[in-house]
Amino acid sequence: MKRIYAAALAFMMAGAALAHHSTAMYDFKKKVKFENALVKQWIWKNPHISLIIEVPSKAGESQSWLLEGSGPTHLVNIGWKRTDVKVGDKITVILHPGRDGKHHGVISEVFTAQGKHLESMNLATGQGARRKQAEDDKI
Amino acid sequence: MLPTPARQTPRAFRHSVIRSAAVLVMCAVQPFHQSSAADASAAAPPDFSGVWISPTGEGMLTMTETGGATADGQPVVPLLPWAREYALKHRAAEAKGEPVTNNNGRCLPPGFVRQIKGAMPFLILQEPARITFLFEENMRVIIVPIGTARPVTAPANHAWYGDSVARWEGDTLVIDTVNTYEKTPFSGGIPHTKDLKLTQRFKYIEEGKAILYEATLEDPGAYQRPWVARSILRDPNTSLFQAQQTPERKKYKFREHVCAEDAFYTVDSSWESEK
Repeated sequence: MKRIYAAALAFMMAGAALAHHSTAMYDFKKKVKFENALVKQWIWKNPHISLIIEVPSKAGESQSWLLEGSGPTHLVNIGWKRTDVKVGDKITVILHPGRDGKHHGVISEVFTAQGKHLESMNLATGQGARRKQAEDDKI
Repeated sequence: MLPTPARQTPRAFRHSVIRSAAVLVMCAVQPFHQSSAADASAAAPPDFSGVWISPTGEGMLTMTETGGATADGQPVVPLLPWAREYALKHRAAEAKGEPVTNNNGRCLPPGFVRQIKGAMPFLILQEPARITFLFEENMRVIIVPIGTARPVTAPANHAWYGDSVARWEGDTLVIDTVNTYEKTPFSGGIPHTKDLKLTQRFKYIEEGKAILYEATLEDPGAYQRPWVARSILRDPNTSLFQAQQTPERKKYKFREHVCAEDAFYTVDSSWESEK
């Protein structure tokens, strides 16, 4: 299992560097939905959050998917919190997959283990998320 | 602590606009050009202090259009052959879903124009002798003196944002920039050289609610002739985040943004091989 995540991490490092500004590697016309996805890693850092989930494949084995989203600076403005997701949580994720068919993508929506619905800003357009006022933002 | 700038209120600005109605109409229907001395009113120059953003998908008038491509995939910026090849290579990689990493993607500065036209808000603090840009994106700062002198054009110490001096052309703020690194290509894979002469203009439109931003890019080493990128800068509370605005939250709240905090994005030395 460790080897799987080492490979996954190496892939994410390569992909993430490319993804900072261009999102050409993702297919924004497609959406993939995973229910009961097991959170293996949750990295809440700028310029993009990263999420590694484990989902069952059609063959019954586990698959790792490497996802990124907008950065905390953006996401806090639309209601996300670092504590919304934890390693070990079972969540539902809707994502735009990579165009290369590999198990990676960009987060579109998350339904947290507590049932909170989070939408990511569309990295391709910078728009699309509905306003959810952050609790720490009431001034 | 910076002194509080003597900002011209929107109402005062509106009155000055009414007095210059003909000028405003011209600006509304076409890009502004160098104002003649006769356009310069005796009134104090407008104050651009405030929070601004170049809203994604709005007002990206020519960075997208001239920085984009024609129907047959050719760049429409007047690029010299090597620059054209560079841009086409960039776009072919994008089309394949294998984008080329640029310095911006490595959390290095993207250059003055891309910083202004970035996806995150920035704060302008204007003083009589200085204008300061504070960008939320990577918490970057550009401080430009305001005067009548032009920046030194002879090759000097190059920098990510170059050497800038601001001046007034009537009610238009003009920033002349030279001596930039060549490693800050524009969006769409449009390159430039160290000989880039960047002229940025800021002028209020829409009764002081927005700024028409125009960047003229002159670089005989990369372009056949100067070309222009334009955008409209708006208050983030009334544009990108309009749907998010609530009565309790009238002012945009700047947050920390440290691009390189994620180890996956740390700066490496490979940028030197990009060009």
